[in-house]
Amino acid sequence: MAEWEIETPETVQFAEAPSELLVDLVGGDISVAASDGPSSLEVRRVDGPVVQARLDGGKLEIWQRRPSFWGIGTTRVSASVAILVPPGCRVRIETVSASVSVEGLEAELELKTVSGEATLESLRGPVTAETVSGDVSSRGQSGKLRGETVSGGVTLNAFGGSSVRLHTVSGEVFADLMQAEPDSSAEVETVSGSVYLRLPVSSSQKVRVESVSGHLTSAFPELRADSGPGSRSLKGSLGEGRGKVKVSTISGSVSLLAGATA
Amino acid sequence: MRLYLLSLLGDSELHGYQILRTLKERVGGDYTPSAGTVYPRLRQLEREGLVRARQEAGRILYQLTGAGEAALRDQASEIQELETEVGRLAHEMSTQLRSEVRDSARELREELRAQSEALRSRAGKAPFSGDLQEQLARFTAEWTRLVAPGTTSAQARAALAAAIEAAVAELHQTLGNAKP
Repeated sequence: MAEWEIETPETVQFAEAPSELLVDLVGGDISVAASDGPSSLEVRRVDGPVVQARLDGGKLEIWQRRPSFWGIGTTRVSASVAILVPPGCRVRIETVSASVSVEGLEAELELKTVSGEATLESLRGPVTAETVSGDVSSRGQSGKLRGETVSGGVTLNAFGGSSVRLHTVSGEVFADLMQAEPDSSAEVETVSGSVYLRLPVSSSQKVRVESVSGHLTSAFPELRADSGPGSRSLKGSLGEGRGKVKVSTISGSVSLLAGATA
Repeated sequence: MRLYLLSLLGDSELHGYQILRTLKERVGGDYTPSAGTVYPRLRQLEREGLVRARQEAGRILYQLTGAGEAALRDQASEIQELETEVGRLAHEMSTQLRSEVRDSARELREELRAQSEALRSRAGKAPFSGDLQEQLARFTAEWTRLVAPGTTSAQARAALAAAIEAAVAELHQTLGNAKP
């Protein structure tokens, strides 16, 4: 077991590559990137309590102790860290307001934030992201995504995975599913968030979009629009109906857009 | 290996077998340095004047010379610099990457919003089209039917029908002007 206490900017190289990483910082900046080289922790800035790290049996924990009493005169608790881990490392990040960016992981990522913004790049493993108001942007993701937010927005760029499940209250959802796997499933539930999904023109999905009072727009004439008391819907099958698209909102508008596969 | 041996000696004096054992413990895994590898290296370091060997009770003790200590310090700081550089590079890349992902996310949002707008305006002048118009048509038909020929005079029926049509027309007008 090895432990570190870091007060000033410093880089620590780990002799042992972690198989599990847990980062717990209140605020600041958290970067985690997959690397085939040595694993390391670079601390760029520390405000408040020292940044502590512990590597024990493959589990790497990095945290900044939260003061037990937040009163007048409490200094900011924040740190800026950049961490390199092997691609197969499982990662869990918990923060209140830190900006988070994660790149290249091939194993699970679990992210919990309140207001921190998250940018995800090229993640291959299953991702679970929970935020209150922080926005989540993910580019080039494959695998599965589960996202829950209150007012944070979710933007999926070039999503090529097999499953998307998003739940928001007022957060808007923008998902480009042009590269999603053929049998993929996309489920979005929101109260008042607007939902924009872009599917290939030659899409093969069973579609079910429902809303109480939200406006539904679709670029797919194959889908049947229905409306009854207190609800309206767009339902039908695109192509062979291999995958699934299910959206339900209360007042959020839904746009099913078509993209030409280049 | 050289640097490792130097750092192992650090500020202590070690027997050959202690060095071997420590190496085995620290490095572990597949690579277990043998006496055949380590001793020649120690002798090389001795020839270079970085390590001093002395005999005690039939055993050889190895120790860093002043020059050895200096070499260790120099190389150690080089390694530290390299580590910091690698770390800094990783961090810079991630900062750049972060703003790239953010920018492309924002572009996507603008694109999708625009596509949605275009689609809506193509669907008809009124922001609400299709199903709502259908509902209005049904509503009109329903009301006209409800005003049964037997219960009211033809005049009243006509007036009611006209009032309903006017209301529906006004609704269309309002919706047509409403902001999306």
